[in-house]
Amino acid sequence: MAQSVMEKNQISDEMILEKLSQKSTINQGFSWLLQKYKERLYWHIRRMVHQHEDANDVLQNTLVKIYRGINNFKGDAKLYTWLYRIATNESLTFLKKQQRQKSTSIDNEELNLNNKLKADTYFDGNDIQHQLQLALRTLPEKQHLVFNMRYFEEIPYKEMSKALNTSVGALKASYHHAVKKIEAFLKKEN
Amino acid sequence: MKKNHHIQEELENISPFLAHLRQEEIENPKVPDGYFETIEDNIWARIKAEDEAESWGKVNVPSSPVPKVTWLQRVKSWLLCPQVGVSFALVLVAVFALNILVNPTVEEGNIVLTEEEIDEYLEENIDQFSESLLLEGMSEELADADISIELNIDDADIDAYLEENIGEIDPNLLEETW
Repeated sequence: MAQSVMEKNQISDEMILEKLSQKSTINQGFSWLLQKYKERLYWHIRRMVHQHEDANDVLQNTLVKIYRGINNFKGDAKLYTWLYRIATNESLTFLKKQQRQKSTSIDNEELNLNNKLKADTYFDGNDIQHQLQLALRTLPEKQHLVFNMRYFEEIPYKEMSKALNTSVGALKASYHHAVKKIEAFLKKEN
Repeated sequence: MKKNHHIQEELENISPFLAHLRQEEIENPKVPDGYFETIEDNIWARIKAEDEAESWGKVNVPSSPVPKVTWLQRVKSWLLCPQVGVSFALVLVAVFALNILVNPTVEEGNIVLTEEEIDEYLEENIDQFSESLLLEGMSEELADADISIELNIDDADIDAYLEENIGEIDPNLLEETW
């Protein structure tokens, strides 16, 4: 697909949507979408599910869902907001499924997380990064999600509110609590 | 990466400790070499495989041809069954007998009771009704009643309230209300 080879920062959402709107160019449009958003979506998912293998599975499911459901995109929100919503839902579904499968006690869970993180081939964070990752895993899912979107991805509350279908006030409050909890965790550990 | 000033300032107000930590350059966790270059091919391969599996299913599992029968033909053949005729006759006899047993003297439609008369009757004979029957009647009435209360509060007011009371809102409640 020679036509689809294009610098990702040259591709606008309008161009992608135009290609996606026609049956004859839908694949090219999707290729552009992948080029532009695959990495951002990957990191969004990875920060939720932590391990690369899990992130890869969730990303693939997300992208296939996007391809199959592209006709459902109404255009009333930004393309990225819609993509984020699907990636978030997929991540949360994955985490819920994972939680159901867990049979270990809460005490062992923290130890398992620690070991898993150390065993993750693709994680070579320094001590403070390691501590931060551990702290993030102690947060409830939605606080974790809001924290990632604000702290790492710097997404404005208004955009977050559209992607997560929650009020700005609730998001601010969730972020506040998440920050406080992480601070307490890190201070306790150091 | 240059940090967004507004977000950094917000964090500074909540936790100077974490704001300081955020200013340090934090590396992303690693991904396998060439991962982002291959993800596209993997996705296309998966989409193609799914499409092929779907079309394979359609081609190889043909639906058996069903002879066309109109609804009129179906009803006609059903009515012609002797069992149906006998059943109809039995049902008619049963309905007639039941009508005589239930309304021996009064014809339906002749009794018109007002709400007050019903209430009066209920009050006088309250002991005759079981508790469960009364509760059932009450819940039906409540279901019919318009007891909805409309709260006209703007989203902006809710946000303002949440912001003012940011530290006091139960985080579990926030998690549940999403």
